Amino acid sequence: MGGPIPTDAIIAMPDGDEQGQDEPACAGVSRGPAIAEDAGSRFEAEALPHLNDLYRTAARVLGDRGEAEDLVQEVYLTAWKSFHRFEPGTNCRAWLFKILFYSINHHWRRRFRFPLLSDREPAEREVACATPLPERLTDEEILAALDKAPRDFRAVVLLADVEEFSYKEIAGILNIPIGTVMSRLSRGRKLLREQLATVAQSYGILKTNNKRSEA
Amino acid sequence: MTADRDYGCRQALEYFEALTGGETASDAKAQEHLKACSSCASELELRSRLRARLKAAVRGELPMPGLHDRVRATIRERERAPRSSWLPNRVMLAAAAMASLCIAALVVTRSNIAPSTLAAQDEFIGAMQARVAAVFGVGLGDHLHCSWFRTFPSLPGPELTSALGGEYAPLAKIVRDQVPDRFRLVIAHRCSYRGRRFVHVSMKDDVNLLSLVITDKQAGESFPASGGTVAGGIQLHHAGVDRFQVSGFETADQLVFLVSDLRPDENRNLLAALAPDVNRVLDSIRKG
Ligand SMILES: [Zn+2]
Ligand SMILES: [Zn+2]
Repeated sequence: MGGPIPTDAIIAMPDGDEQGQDEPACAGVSRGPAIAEDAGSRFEAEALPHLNDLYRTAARVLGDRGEAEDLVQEVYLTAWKSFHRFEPGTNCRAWLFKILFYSINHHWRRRFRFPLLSDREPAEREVACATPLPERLTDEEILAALDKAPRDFRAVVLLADVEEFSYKEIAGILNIPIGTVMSRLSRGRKLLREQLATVAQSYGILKTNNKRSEA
Repeated sequence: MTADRDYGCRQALEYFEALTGGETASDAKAQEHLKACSSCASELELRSRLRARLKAAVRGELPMPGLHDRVRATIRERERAPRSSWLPNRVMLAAAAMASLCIAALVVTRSNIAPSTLAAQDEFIGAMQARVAAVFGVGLGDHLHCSWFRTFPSLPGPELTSALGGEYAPLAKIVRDQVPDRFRLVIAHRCSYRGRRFVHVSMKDDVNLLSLVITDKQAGESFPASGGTVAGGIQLHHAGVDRFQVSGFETADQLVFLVSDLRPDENRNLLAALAPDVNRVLDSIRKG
């Protein structure tokens, strides 16, 4: 996947001079014919099954369900507008996720009071706390721990460990190098472990020592 | 544990860490290490249980039941656009508005503007105007007509601002100075919509589009007497419809608007920042 998603698609505005030649509607794209009569049904069949995946990722990255619903609608409108360039058989799901993250970075970014983390990775720290047994944690505790990780790391963990995209797909979706994907994933998982340990301590699941729990 | 052994664990864990989803381990050394090292084996097992729990927890979160239908309805509506009927529901109206916009956009960029497209544009503009107080609709209408439905050829700055006319030329710089660098100037001219004349400066970035719109007051036109905010002694008024924000103020004989798809507070703050300088320019023009 090459350049950015066409911005006119995001904002639904005609901008002829900026409709570039390398719009990556999806991998292996070619300029297809105009939207066919049944394009709506085809789009629904190809794209709608991924709605829950997009929603839960948006909800976790944005931290707000209402905004996630709005964003998902926007993603589908954008996708629909570019659907005539979508080639059947290519990875529609990765394409939708790419639009999702493009929208988050270029449009929704301004809504956050705090700046997004830069590409600079945080300093490496040793994980000093023991990780609680996953079975002892509730879903709420796991999600609370995930939400505490910085957004960029959370995004990579979600795409890799929940949505099961490959490194290459994630690199395309987030428009970052594969090396960055790998380091963010490794760091994100560590941060999640640290947070889980903190959560577990606060719930009294773990004692506050550094011994690995063997129970 | 010896240093060598320690290094082996780290290497092995890094190798397995780098595998994603369906990938299976193919590195013989790493696999061998795993067979021999119970600490790595239990660490990996813990990681995979953790991932399973994380997946289940995140996937347990489902959208409100209506979202599928809303998205489907939006797409269907879009197929029928631009001659869609305006549905009463707010969300549907917004969706339909975007839908007809996008269809219009496709037509505008691919062929010469067809009458039906212009009609659809006017229909859209009318629907948006109808949802704000009439005075706000004045600025909103020109923004939509002249900026929103337009393609922007890249013109060099001087060529652009010359269309503004000497006395209003300082407005382009005033806007430029207050708007973030990522925005570029795309319009600085005089234009008209529905027989009314406007002075119009527009800037855009990859996502947002904003217009400063100035027009002479017509009989009885005024912003509401109460409400709004004050910036530098100037009373500002605000309205919004869907993604569009309209902030405005008035002088003795003119209406000044900032219209954009920025956030409400951003639009408000931007006009608050612009108002004193814009007011000064208008004042000096009035005094000749
Ligand atoms: Zn080991
Ligand atoms: Zn204009």
